[in-house]
Amino acid sequence: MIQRALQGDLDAWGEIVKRYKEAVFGVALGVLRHPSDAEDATSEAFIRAYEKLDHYDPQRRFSTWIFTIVTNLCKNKLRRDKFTAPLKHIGQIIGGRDPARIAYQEARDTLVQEAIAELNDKYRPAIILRYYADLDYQEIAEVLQLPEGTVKTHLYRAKAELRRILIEKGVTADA
Amino acid sequence: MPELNDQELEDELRTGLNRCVQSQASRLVGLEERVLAELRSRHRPQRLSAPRPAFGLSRRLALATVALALVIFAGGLFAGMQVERLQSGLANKGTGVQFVIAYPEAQSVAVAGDFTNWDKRPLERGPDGVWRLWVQLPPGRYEYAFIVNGSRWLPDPRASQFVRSYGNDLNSVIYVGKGGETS
Amino acid sequence: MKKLHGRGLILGLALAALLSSAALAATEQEVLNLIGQLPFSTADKAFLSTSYKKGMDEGRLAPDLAMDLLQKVGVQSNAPVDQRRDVLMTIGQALLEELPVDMLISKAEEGVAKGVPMSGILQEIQERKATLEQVKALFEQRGVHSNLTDRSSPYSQASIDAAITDVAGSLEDYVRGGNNPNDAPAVKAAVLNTLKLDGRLPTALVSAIDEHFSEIDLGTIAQAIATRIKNS
Repeated sequence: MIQRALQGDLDAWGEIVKRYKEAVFGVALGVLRHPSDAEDATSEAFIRAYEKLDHYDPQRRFSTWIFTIVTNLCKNKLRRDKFTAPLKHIGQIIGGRDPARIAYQEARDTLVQEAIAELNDKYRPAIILRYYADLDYQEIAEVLQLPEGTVKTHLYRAKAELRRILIEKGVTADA
Repeated sequence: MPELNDQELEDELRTGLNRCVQSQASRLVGLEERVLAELRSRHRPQRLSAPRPAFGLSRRLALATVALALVIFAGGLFAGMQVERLQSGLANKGTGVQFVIAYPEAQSVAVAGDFTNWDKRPLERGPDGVWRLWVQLPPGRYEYAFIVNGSRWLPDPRASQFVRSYGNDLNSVIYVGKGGETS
Repeated sequence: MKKLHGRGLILGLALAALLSSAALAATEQEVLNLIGQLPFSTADKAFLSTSYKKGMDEGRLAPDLAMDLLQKVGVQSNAPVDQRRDVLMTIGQALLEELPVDMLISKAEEGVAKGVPMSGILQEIQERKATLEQVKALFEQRGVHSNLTDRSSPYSQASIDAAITDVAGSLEDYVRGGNNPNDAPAVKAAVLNTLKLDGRLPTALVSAIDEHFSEIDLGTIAQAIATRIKNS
């Protein structure tokens, strides 16, 4: 099918998008935390990927390639948001993470999502790619363009950090 | 209270992440159609090619071409997103309020809010790719949002206030004062 | 002869004006007729008729808006009948309690437009109705009345209703936005910010609210909202 898309068959590309959109969205959502930003990043990733199909090496796994594209998009957005924060700096969003609000969300998995959201931007992509997309260390290294050793270190540190945050939120081992 | 061990932590992460995505799954409905529509509407359908020394281009020229093309491409995408953010907004001329958003790639843009009973009122597309609509608004407070291509809801990024609605949605808010001034 | 002619002309013009405006705007009777056609029990329809009529008679519910709501929720929606009925009856109950319902109707229509499940819409308006009740009670406790309740008051029912709506709405926005409901000064500041920007409210009324409603008064309602959301 990718062959057909390479030849310009847009409908084939549509099938590819349909197949991979949830996985790509999951990665974007994990990294960006904001659902509508993640939705934008997902569409964006598939648009860019199509326009860059010439660069796609069929020897590579397609999923790894599209994850690379979306991860880079997300990292760029995070970096841009640090300076311009488009939606957030204009006026007041009546919003924001507040410990008191977090206390109202009792569902355990919500607390886990919160913990992931609070992770350092640097570590979050690796966690998402490992525990949402189920990539192995080598694949994560390829997507993030980091040495495999660094990936392992990031994951180790991220998990320690997550444990600490989860304890604070009262998520401990089930009795 | 015991800490989570490795296996427990990994299970929690996997479950939590999956549930998070599932809860947002409705956003993905029709995404492939939107992507295809966007690709079809782009003015330059040809894809970028990497330099091919086999064709005999001098290396420098080839690199320059690719660099220029990438810059235009990236700039166009980036600008499109930024222009949407910078050029949308409200301008008040006395008793009327203009809703404005720059979105050249959209097939349709509408606004819905308190003042339309949340019915979609279409904006008009100008030749510059900017969509506009004038509305008479008496003094008060109004929540609203734009709808792009019939289904994608987004708040007006240039509004001075945003509020959360129905979970994760964001609406924009505009106030009309006694003298017709807006904020 | 001349006198009769003149009167006839005036009557004719008045009748024309009446007919043309009636053609454009819905009437109270049309609303009641539409309620009669909804797929609910006789008792439920009687409740809706009584409460919506009271709302229209007291100026809290414009017939056009009632028609729009009844069409969207009662007629066009594919949601389960009992959920649609409950949404409409929640608004009816609010009208019986003499609460301003603009916020509830707006949230319901927003939910329909965005495809929110009817159960979600119901929950939202039930939560907000509870807030409206608390805010209205506060207005009464602190002596900020309309000239219908207290003839010496300079404020119309419309502006009191608008103020109640804005206070309740800004409290809801504050809490749903994730802000701290225990920070009473911040709560009051958020409320006053909204009141000052809304051109419908007389400046004197905003000052009266500022003077009579303490930070604790408003903070208490904010905490109640937070509890409602938490328990939902």
